[in-house]
Amino acid sequence: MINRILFQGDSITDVGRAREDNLPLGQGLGTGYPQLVTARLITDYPSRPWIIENKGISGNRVVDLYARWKIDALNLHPQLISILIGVNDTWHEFGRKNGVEVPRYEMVYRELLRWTKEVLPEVKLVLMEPFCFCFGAVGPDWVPEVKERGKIVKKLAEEFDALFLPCQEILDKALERAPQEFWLRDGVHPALAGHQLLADAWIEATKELLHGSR
Amino acid sequence: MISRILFQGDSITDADRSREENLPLGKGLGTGYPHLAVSRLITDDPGRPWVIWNRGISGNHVPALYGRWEKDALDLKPDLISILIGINDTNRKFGVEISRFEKVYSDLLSWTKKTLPETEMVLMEPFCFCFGEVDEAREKDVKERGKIVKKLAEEFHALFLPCQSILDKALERAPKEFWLRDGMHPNPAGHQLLADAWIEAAKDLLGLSR
Repeated sequence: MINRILFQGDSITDVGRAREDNLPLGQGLGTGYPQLVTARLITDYPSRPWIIENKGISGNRVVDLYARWKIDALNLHPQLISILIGVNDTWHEFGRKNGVEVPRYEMVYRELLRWTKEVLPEVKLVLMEPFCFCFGAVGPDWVPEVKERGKIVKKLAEEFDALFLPCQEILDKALERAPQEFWLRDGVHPALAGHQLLADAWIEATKELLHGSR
Repeated sequence: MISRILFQGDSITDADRSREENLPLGKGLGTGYPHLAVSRLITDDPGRPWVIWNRGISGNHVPALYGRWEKDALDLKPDLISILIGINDTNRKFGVEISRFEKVYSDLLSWTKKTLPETEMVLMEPFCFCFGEVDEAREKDVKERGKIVKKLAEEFHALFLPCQSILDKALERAPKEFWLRDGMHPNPAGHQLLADAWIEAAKDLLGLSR
């Protein structure tokens, strides 16, 4: 039974999470989708010995994640790791010529997953698709590249038998209900409703993984 | 249609909410039940012109709430005000006795009805479990305040949210320390319970089809 969950990623996962370790269950998870998922999960399944961590760090690209993967993922021995990474790999190229080009993104991401499976062969993985809307911080030249990364994440999810969460599709569909600014605050970062959308999708997608074979 | 909602109360409502004003929708609401309820609300009904405030302040008892009511409630002209107050009124050092609690709470509600006759109200029952900060005498006192809040809700045609019953029922699923951290303050799961109950109770008032 899965009860140790790790959320990993960049600012979209970080969202003001505490830097302290060993906080009581559900505390210091920030105010984004990891917190919303956790509050829902532990309330609906209160008797499980949950250990849920958020180790997202704002500004991270896949190479930054790789660099801290041992200490911030493998050493924690989670049973499920949820990863959302990729938008800064594009963003930082446009901002400060410090991006990670698509082929290297794929290579490092694959290496990170291979390493994970090697050290934690039983671990379950949820790979969240990087996403954006074309406004705010996001220029038109970003969009195809972010979508390219999304395809790579989907491919990697198949390759590593991970669950793929189609965040871009979920957000695109939400445009039928409200404009893009309602869901993402600057084209990159979800507003509260965007976080709730991601959290709902995460809960729904992992239902069987978390509660299927009891 | 209700779109302007104000959450008021003490530390349970505050839960680290931001002190800045005019933040974008959903920002700075803290990490407690107002944040969780609002997140659900605006996601399920994204087309409404939501304006939502959390003006809870840690340590407040009913006289403190009364003292800042004009600026922190009436002036905002909300369509709906949700209030959770009472646990600090049972504090042995700075609390106020039951009769004064009732008097001031009642005055606050009549003032609200007079100034904002159309405004709907949700009164949340003060709650506790007997451990941590709360001994048996205090528990008894808190339950008395709960009865008063229920009575006031009837008197002022407000929605009453029976938080203590909701928490008591949750004890079938996990021990008290899981829901409240010190007998008074909810843990994240306690906040989610309150948020779920709040949404469920207010959905007709809000015209939500859930």
